[in-house]
Amino acid sequence: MSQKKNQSMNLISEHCIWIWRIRAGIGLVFLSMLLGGLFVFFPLTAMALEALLLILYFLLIFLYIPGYYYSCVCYLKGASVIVNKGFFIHKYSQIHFSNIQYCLISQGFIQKRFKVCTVYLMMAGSRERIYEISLRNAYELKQKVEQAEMAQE
Amino acid sequence: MIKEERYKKTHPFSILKNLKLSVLLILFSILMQLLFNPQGWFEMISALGLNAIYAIVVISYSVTLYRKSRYRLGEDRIFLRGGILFQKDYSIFFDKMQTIAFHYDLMASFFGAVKVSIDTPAGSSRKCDASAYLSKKKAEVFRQLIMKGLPHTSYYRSGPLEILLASLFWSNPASGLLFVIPVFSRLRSLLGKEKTSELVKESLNPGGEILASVVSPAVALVILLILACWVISIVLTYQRYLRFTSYRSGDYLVITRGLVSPATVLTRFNGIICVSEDQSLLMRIFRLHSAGITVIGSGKLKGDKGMMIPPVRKRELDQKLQEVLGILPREEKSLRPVKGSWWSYLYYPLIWVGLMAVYLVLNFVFSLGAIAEMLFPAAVLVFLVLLWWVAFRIFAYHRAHLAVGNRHLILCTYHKLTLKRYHIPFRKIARIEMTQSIFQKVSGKCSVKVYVYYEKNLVYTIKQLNLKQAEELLSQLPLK
Repeated sequence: MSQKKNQSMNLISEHCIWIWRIRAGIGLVFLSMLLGGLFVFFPLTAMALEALLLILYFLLIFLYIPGYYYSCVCYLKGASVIVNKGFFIHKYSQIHFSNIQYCLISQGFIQKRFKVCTVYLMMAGSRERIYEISLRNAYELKQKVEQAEMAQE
Repeated sequence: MIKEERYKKTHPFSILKNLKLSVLLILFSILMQLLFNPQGWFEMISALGLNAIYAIVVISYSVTLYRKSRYRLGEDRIFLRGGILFQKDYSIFFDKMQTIAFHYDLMASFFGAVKVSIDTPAGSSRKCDASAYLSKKKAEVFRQLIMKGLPHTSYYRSGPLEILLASLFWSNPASGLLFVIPVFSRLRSLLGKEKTSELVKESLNPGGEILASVVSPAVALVILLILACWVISIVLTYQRYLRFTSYRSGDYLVITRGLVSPATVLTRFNGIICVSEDQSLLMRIFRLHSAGITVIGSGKLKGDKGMMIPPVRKRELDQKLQEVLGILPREEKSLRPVKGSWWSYLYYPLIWVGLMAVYLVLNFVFSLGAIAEMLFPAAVLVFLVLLWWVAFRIFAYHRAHLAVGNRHLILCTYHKLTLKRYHIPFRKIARIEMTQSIFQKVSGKCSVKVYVYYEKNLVYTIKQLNLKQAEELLSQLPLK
């Protein structure tokens, strides 16, 4: 399946790039505060670490995060959900609705702003996380899983 | 999406429970006292102000968490919502629930609350999939929805004597110590270190005086502490399992137990991973057996041993297992460890017995010093325990076997100091592995490991079986 077709069917929201960038920014601020404390005792070391942190931050927000987003595809195929993800190590999962015990939808305060959430597909012995899926898609997926369960009964 | 108003709030007792979890944060106040050590009026008022802000934050968090935690009972599922920073929304079908537990804790019951815990095969082995405090009325409504008003059958109630026997066999000083330590530290904070030590010494003195005539005072104190912890453990286990009752209701096995903090556990029959018949060496002497079940969600209730039937005679146990769980005592084919493989069962405890025996002989003959002399009585006790361990391993070797029943694989092996005879339904077997060490390859033996469907890695092992006979026996299993 071509990448364009994948992206059009993709349940993962395009806002996820900005959400991850915001998280990276929060992480940068937090680590910088710690390095600020270290600066009092070891100024040169703290400055070197801060420079390294900034380089990593820019690589993260301009290279890794967009690359990770385009590698993540999640779509419905019949009575299964297909999850493709991973930048360095690619993973492919096909999960049949009948194997899902229940769906858990979790929404953080940043996700609330962009109207996305994280869906946890809980299975016997394992679970699959789908990040930054739009709320509408999340509830549709949950409904499909529940319909499959009711059909099974 | 269902409107928020139709969701109901959990019981307000949840606020107290959330506050209890933040008790560790009281370290903040203590740290402030230690680091800043306020002296003047202004500093003390500032410190009090900061403590007040901290308390307001903690209480606000607990109250907000309670207000956000909501539930709704549907015809075939329960809907749950909660969380402050990360809001969660999920629903669990009744058919997916393997174990539902209703805990009537002493404190919660005082406020009219019941803790309901739900476990599914998707859950973690450490905590439940969902738990909430509901009012007693709502909890009863939930229970009726699940059980659908089906009649109770195969009713079994154990007497107080059977529970007392179970408490005697299952208790140990370590579990008593786990209860004593927090009580002791709370007493110290209330009464002070010296007063508490005085109190403990006074209570142990009478027994100590008797024992001090036989052993040194230090050893006497240790023995008394061990005995005291053991008695406490017996009392705790006894009250935990008193009024034990089990019965069938539709697809569920219902177990109720407990005096001070009773609990009712509903378990799906098709969720029972295995049934085990347990017998320790002491129980063997009294010709008693007990039975327990392993299910998803078992072991999370405090002190839960998954007991199904307390110590009774073999005939009564077989009768109850057949009535309640449909397990027939008959085995069609059985395979025992190869003759002469007793060394594999005994080498480890025998090494320790040997080392202890050497120490005792050397101490007795050569007198290794004052400390060694003081430790001699304790060493004798340890030696006797090690001999008990050897005796148990001999018993386990004679009883070990692998067999195929009509619907179960039967595996008799030991776990710590208990002989366990596992009845594993064929459909619960995830896989079977036969392993051979270098020595076993030469002698044609193997160890059989049976993996079962469970929240975490759960495997039952029997060793030193003949490889060809084991292969022949296991090939007859109707596994898909």
